[in-house]
Amino acid sequence: MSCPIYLVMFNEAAAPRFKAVIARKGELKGIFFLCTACSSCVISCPAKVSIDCFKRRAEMVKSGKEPQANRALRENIIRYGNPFGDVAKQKKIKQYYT
Amino acid sequence: MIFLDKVVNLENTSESQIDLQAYSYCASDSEQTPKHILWPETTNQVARILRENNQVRGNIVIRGAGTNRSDGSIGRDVTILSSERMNKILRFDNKSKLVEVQAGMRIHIFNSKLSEYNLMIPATTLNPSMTVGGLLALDAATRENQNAKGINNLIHLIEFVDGTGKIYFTEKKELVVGKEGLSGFITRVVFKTIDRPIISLDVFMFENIPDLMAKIRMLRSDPELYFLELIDKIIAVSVGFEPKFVLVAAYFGLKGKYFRIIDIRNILERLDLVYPSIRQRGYYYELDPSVSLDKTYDLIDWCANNNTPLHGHAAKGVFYVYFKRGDHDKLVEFKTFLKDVGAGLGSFFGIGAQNIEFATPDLKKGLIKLKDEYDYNNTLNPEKVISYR
Repeated sequence: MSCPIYLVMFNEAAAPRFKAVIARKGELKGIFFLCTACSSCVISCPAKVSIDCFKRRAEMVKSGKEPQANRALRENIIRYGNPFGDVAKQKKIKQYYT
Repeated sequence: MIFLDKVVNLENTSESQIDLQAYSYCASDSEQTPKHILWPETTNQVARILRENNQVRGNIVIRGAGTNRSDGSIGRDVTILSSERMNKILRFDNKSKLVEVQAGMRIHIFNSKLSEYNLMIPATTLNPSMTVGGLLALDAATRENQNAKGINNLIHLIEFVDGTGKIYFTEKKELVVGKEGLSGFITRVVFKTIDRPIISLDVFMFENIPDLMAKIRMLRSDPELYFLELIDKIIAVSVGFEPKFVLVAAYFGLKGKYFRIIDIRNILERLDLVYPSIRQRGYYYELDPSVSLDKTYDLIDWCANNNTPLHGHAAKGVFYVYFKRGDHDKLVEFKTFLKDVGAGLGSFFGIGAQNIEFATPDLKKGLIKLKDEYDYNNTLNPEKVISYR
């Protein structure tokens, strides 16, 4: 098991195997955003299954099923040019540092 | 479960829909949704969970990496007790080569850490993600344990928690090794690791099964044999051999034809490609028959006549046979053949809930006796392997 997300969380829901099961069923879930796109899963997988999390994420955004955090990030990028939102000069982004 | 927050941290419990769905699957085709997931991190937490659970007679299914293919790691409306977060090396003595490890440690990670000290446990499994606990609970076949120098002989001490929550730290590994979690939750193991052996290899190729069998009979009794791997004609081509039955023999010492590291590495890499090459060709279902030497001929012959890929540990008589998704009838026919020749199943994937008809009377008797003593209320892995009470 070489997925860096799984190696931190040790939860099957974060593992590539479960993402592959969900992808095969055609379900769209927030776990596709638990991915660093490192492709360790594809390299390790004996059957060379590719989950293609980016494609799933795009489907989720199009269908309005994306997680709230991702929606906030997108809106901040569009509005402010960065994912964190309106950041005054020299100020820390409070909600991310407390 | 009202005691959860007293025993484990809240982050180590879950009843969320996504987690329950994730733990509905193991490596089999089945889907069985549990009602709770628990991830204990210490033996004491496991003991307290099982003690409390025993009071309420709840059903617990023990899970490691979920590599089980016989529904052994899943259950409907059960509590999944996962060893995933019990994955630490607790103690390491380089002088005595004793290593104490929690049962949730994955075999390949364990051996990778041991290799820094030129040590190992001889356990090359079909699925390297298997945990130490899973390997021992299934007494799973590995490439190397084809003779007396197998991994069981390297268990110095084993710790497990029985169904009542009592902790045992004992030399009596037979209480839990090969018992598929029915007598206890393996929590930690003290291994006497070994130095990486110097090995050499021979590669033999055969057109016909009688010649192949003659060689297997001869090599099996070689005291210097480290492992003996068989690859059939279907698989041989896809890993770079000629389309013949291939026998790869490894010996302790340098008596084999191939003793240079580069040659050994080349052959071992081809062996490691066997499983991926089969999966990439669309083979999905796997069975793990174990046969006596006399019946090995029949097994190889059946697979050759039915165009069914086979490979395995020829000295031990444990093989892996593969079927495609649409071959359900062939799979049923194969299981009937196995019963006819008196073969077993479960040497790697376990008997679990799918292969109960292959549990031998001796195994059943032994498990019932262990259940009587260590899990009288049948809270651990109920309805797996045997029907108890």
